[in-house]
Amino acid sequence: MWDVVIVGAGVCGAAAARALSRYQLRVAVLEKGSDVCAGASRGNSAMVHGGFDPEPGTLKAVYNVLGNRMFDELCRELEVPFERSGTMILATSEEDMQEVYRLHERGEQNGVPTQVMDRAALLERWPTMGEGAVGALFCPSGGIVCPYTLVIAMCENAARNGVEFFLNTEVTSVTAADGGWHLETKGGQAFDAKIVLNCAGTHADQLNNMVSTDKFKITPRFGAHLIMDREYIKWVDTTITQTPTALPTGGHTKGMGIMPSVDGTVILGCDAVDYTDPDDVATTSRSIDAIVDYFKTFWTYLPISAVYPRFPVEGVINAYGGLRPHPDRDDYIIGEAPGAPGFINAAGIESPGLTAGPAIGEHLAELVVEKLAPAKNEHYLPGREVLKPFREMTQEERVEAIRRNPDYAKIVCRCEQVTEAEIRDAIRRPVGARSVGAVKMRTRAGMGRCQGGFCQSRVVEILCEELGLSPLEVTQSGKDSYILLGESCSHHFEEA
Amino acid sequence: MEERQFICINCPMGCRLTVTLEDGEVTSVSGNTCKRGEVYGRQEATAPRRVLTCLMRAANREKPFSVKTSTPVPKELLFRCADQVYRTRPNAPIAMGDVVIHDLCGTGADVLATQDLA
Amino acid sequence: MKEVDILIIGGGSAGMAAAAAAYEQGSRSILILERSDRLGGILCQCIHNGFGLHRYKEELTGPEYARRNVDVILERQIPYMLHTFVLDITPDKVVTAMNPQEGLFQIQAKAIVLAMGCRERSRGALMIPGTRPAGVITAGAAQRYLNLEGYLPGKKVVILGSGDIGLIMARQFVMEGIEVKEVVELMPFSSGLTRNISQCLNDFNIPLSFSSTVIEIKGRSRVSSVVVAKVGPDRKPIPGTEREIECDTLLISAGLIPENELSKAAGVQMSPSTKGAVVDDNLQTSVPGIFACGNVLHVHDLVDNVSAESEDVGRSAARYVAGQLPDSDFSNCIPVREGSGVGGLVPQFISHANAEGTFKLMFRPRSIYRNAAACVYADGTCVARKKAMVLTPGEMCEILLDHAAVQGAETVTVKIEEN
Repeated sequence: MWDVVIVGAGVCGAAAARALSRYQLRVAVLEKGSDVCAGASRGNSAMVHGGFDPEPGTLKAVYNVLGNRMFDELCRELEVPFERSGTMILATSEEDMQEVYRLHERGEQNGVPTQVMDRAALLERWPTMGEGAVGALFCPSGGIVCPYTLVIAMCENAARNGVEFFLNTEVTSVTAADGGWHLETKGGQAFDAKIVLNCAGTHADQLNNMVSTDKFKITPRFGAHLIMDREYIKWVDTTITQTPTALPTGGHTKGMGIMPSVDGTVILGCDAVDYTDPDDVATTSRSIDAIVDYFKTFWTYLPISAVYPRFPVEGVINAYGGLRPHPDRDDYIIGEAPGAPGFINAAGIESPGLTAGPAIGEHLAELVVEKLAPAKNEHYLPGREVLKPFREMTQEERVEAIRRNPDYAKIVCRCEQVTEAEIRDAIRRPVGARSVGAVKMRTRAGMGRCQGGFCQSRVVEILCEELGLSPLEVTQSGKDSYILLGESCSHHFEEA
Repeated sequence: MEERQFICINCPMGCRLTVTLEDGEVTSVSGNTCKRGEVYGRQEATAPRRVLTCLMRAANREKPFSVKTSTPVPKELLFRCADQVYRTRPNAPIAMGDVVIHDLCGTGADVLATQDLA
Repeated sequence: MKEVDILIIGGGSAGMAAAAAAYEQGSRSILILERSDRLGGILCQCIHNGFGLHRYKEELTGPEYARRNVDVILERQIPYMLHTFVLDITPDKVVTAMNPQEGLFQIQAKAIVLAMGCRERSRGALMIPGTRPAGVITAGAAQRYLNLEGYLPGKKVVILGSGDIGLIMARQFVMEGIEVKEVVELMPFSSGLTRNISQCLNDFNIPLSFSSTVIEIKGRSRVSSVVVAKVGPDRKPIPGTEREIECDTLLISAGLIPENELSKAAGVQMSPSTKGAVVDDNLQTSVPGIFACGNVLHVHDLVDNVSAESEDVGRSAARYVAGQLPDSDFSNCIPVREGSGVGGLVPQFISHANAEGTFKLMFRPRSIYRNAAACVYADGTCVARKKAMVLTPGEMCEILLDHAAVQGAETVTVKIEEN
């Protein structure tokens, strides 16, 4: 019997797991994907929101602000890239400026300091801000983080402190049982737990509705992003979005934006389209075109347009999609589900979900601790043992790293300068990589200009060496996503 | 009377050749702009040939090595030739230029290694 | 810090030819840095023939052509390092590199030859919408899995782009029992050599669709199909022309991009047209003593031309070190402009330092021209005219010019004139 089963290894589930690992509890995390951070926590804008935007008094507002405050300490402890580079809402008309004032007020109500900047103030700080920029709301506490590194790091910390992770484990039923809950999975496993934490993203409604009298609906809300080459980040030092746009089906998006990413690339996006399939993250030409078309006009407002007068679409190196789990009641659903004692929801965690996640996780853990009154884990280890990426090392650090481990002198991914040492480490770590995609998430190998064209075969080789696999067994992202389908010189021609 | 169409491969022109045959004998070649085109047209219409380049495996190695036929082989035997190449597993080490198969499928062409396999 | 006269980055066809020529010119302080486990570059994985027809008067396979060059390096005992990755080049020609034997090290070079080759355009760069399953792979990466490792990247393939690499892989796939369903080409013409269309597609009845592109990739774990549509003159998909092709692999052969991150680090001026360095007629870049040749300078279609060009560079680098070639100075050069029909022009500057002898202008026609001529104008005067029955983007065009013909001109322009 598990004390706690957490369904979903996204930002909330990972944060809860980490918080719970400070206690003597048997905790299991069930993730239906083949790696942690497989859902909404991955395909987003990577923004840490200031918290001026959510309606005051809502759970979104509360957890946004609480979460935002946690990021410096959390990311320092877990060695996750994070920068408070600020967020700007750019006004290109007087109407927009009204919105800016409104958001400034809202920020005050939420306890989030923001600055209203007129054009003169904007130009003082960003002298090349474009012609039509009228003013802006600037939030210094906004920032950027690497979302999957954050989730992976929290999972690694939880794992080193005793939490067990079950990947490729999709929950198909939850029923009340003696002393708690009985969960069954697609693969035929069974888990019994005193408490269930429902952190299942776009599937949270499915789970909740199996057990609670208060049923809700999660709408998967799709958004696409484009990634631009590192070349452009020199002129993108803060996140710039336009004023939020309301959506017909409820809620609103933060609007399109351009954000620097902690990895040195530039992210553009995102749009918002409501879907029915909770796992469909395919990009669409409609979404990609929407972003490209938007930036063809919006570009002129941005400081970068002084160097690149027109939007350099040839600088795009990739596109990705993600689903936000939009709740039908517009605010987060957090707490014990009515009619289901011990079944606790953290559902509908759409934007500002990534920011709110760490705080939500802490709260979920508090609820568990209230119920189970567990003893503390005296052996709890904060942080994680992680290597500094080679590409970020100084010359001296590189020399030292090579001296300690010659695998550092072997470059695998040329575009992102990822060495063999880091790739082997990514596989050997707790909750380690088991596929090419998982290696990519942990090391950035394959995320650069050539998108794995050069390094993938070597990554496959190393996975084979570390895991005792044949190349035919290596997958892109788990399950049956095999990369290689046969051996050469094996075909028999019928006519022969 | 039979008419066949080919793109000549001898130079970037890529002339579209029309070759007429009577009872299997070439009676005319048109569309070419040089003599080489005519030669190619005749050959291609009566007995098209191709050099086979492909991979081969050694019995005692994991990685394959590359090979080629020493001369072009009849096009209609290409698959049969590849089949024999795949079924043959010589022993490494193999040196570039080694004959790994004599008289492939009775064509008179040998199969030569085009790289070393240590 | 180690010192060397001529440091060559890349041990492929370009790097080796430059090294050998520098040696012939008299240099005895040469070092080649190669990142993989052998010399030879991309030719090591090109097991088909067709290489060397011009240079050696024989049809060789890639490995055989590479072997000819490697033999020269070994015979002359020209130093080279394998498994060596260059991390940085400074404008004063300090190269930082590393390998497992030496760790991290730096070398001060008197001259550097950039010979890093190129990378392939990826699905991400093309922004093809859809899922991100296994089975989306570039032609060169597939070629590597097949020819260097011995694995089939798929069983049922659709190829996007009629570039030579994709065509070559189509044929090789067929010979491995892989089904090649179709080649889809965006433009109304192929960018590949005609002989490849004939011998790789026509021979096996593989359909080739022009003015078409892949507009969606489907499949969760592995590619299950692609959606293809026709495009109009604006290269945008035409609604209503969509069709779905069942496959497990999308092979992308949509162009090569010179790999110039190191060049940029060295402060070398880049050309948006070639995506390679801007050079003068000695193929010297804007940074004195740094030269470029082969695919990193501009994408070639015949390795024979890569070798010839790189030999010129090797000689120039040796002469530079010997004080016989001055620093590049574009402000004191004649600029060469791309006129109508001309793209990817190299070199972009003609040095006043060379008053005698000949030099080559190379470019790619922007479209297919029949019965046309490539013309070189020194200011308003036509100084060279090269007639051709056909000029096509798939074949680099070369014009040999006398320096004397352009000396004193303000600008030189190259254009295509149709008869």
